[in-house]
Amino acid sequence: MIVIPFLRIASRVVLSAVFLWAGWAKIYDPAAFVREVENYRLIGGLLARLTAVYLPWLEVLMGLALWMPNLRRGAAWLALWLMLAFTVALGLAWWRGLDISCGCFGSAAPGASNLPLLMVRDLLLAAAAALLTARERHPAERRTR
Amino acid sequence: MVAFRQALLICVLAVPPAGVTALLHPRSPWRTADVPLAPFEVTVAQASHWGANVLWVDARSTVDYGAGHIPGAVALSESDWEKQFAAFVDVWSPERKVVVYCSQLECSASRHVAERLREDLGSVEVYFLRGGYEAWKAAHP
Repeated sequence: MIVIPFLRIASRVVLSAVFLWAGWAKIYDPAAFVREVENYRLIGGLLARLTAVYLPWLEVLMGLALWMPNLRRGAAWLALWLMLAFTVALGLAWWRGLDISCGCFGSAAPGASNLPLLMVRDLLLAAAAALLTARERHPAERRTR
Repeated sequence: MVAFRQALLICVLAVPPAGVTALLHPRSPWRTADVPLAPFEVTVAQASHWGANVLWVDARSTVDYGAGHIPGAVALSESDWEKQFAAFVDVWSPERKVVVYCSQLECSASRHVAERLREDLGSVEVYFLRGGYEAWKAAHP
């Protein structure tokens, strides 16, 4: 099956690009990102500030680690849980009727976001991450089967 | 287990750059004094300039309100909204600018209460105070 290796590479490229872009956009202006975090009304204060400085770097490192043989499965698991957490946060905001910008890429896209559409996007990214969590069989191992 | 260790390592590796960002980034959240005011955010100096035309709203808990508040402020928190909103409406008039405050720089209750008041009153003259009650006390020793 040539489809699975292709899907794995495509997932890796997309996830890595999304995390690098999202992380870098937030690192550029952490103070503005605090407001985006607080808009969800899930955390505030010191926790929102810590999230605003930590999460962007975690995303950048995940984006890089997805290409490192010794870290990429861990990065894929992290990406999976992070995308699911983002989906839950978006779902809660939607359920509570919050009219907010998602803040997914910092302040790059101000204004209210289409939250259901973003949930679908995040679930697709979670599926891509799930694909990468499976152990990759070595080519020699594949040939013996 | 290997994947878990890898994930943990990535989480740990993110800590040092995050610390550097918090300490040295020119737009660090810990340097919010340098950050431009958000929409509907006002400083103590601006609010004081409006004088008696300001209606102060205390978005903190009733316990905090009881322990001390800006003179003339009415209590209105999200948790006690139904009980306190009527008392707020009694003293509010459309000509007055409303400034909502919570405890300090890190709190976000004032912003949420201000947003809700703007929606409920249909008024744009509802602001929230940068630095909260702590900033007001610092300016009025």
